[in-house]
Amino acid sequence: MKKEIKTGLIFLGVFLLAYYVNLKTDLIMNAVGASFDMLNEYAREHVLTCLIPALFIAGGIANMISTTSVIKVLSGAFGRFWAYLTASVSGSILAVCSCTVLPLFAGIYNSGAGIGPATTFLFSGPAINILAMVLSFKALGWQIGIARIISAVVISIVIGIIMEKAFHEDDKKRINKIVPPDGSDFPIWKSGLILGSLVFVLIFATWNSAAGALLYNIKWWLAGGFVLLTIMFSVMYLNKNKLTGWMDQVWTLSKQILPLLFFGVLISGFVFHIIPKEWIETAVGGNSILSNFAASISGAFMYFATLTEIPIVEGFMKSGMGDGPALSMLLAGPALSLPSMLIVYKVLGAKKSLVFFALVIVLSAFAGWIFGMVI
Amino acid sequence: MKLQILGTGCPKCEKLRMHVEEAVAKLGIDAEIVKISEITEIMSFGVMMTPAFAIDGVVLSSGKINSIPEIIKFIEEKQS
Repeated sequence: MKKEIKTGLIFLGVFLLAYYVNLKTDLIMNAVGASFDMLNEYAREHVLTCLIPALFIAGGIANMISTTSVIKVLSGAFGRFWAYLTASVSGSILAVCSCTVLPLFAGIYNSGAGIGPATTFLFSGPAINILAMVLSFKALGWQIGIARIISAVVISIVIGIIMEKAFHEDDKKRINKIVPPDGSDFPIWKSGLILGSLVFVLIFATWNSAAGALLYNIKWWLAGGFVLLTIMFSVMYLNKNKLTGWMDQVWTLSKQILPLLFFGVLISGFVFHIIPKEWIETAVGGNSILSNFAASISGAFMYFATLTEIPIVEGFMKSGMGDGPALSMLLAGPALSLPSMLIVYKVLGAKKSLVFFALVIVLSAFAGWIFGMVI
Repeated sequence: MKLQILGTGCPKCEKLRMHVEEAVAKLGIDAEIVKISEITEIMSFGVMMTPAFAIDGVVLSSGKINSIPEIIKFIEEKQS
């Protein structure tokens, strides 16, 4: 019943909007135009050369690389040092979709390594998955791309260590039995050859002339060559089962991510045309401490569906957001959102989760501020 | 027999649920299919990666979408 009322209210809202608001004003027409421009730009610049190879790599990682050993390290079997180190970078292998991050986070917390590596993983996971890395580089520029990776890894370890020091005493409740996920027994060098040549496809396909004019002229030959190499290795080493499993993964991921990205790009093209530039410039322009905080706080509460943080931040930047605040938002944004806060709250309890949220907001703002000064 | 699917509600978990339903239909057995999406409850199983599949509280697989024949095998092993 409640749901029906909600639907009714939505209908009413749409009706009132259509009835009273003249939608064909210049502002709205231009905003629609801007959203299609942005979609066009993404389709031309980012989809073929960047997203599609990245989807194949991400699917291949999920299908060919054994996660069992990573999970073992994460649960503290080899000591804290390795647990932290692995937690800070394993997002690139494990966390292709945000719904795998939270169970893993809860699992690391409860099953061994405890609160430190768990929060480390929760923070860095979404920032360093392969799709997010690649698209940040491509759409936002290499400076922000690199800054995002480095600061995500560094801050995540800092947060983890602070959380562990602060809550060491009551970090005792553990669940002893862990069920390791099913590993793949596929030899690592074979998956290395296949995924490695795919990474080269990605690198050469996105090569721009600024990075080296000589290679730029033959980049399509190089990219094409590595495509052939990938196919060759796949035919040599993958049986039919493995190959369909891989393609299945790629397809599942695409179904999950592409629609979100499509609407994310459209909406962000539209919205940022409507919001007056002056507002954004006042709130998150320049590189003051205040604008960095504004960016990290709003990022922490906002929900970004997988990868949509990138077009949204791009929209902000086109409307006058500074480089520093952009990084602040990229760091705090995917790591936290209102829905994920609720789950973290349930797993960690009030005190710990509030400290964690505060750390994320403060350190993200701080990293953005430093980046804004350096750049 | 209680067939449990653990997952927070992402597309992968939904796909596993469909596979389980089809497996049950193929076998023609009388089994209860339960979807568990509460994170604390998932944790109590000791599972670290979702989707995971359990029968009567015993986790048989986690971190992947099982194929229908695999699920049938799990159920048959449990029955015998």
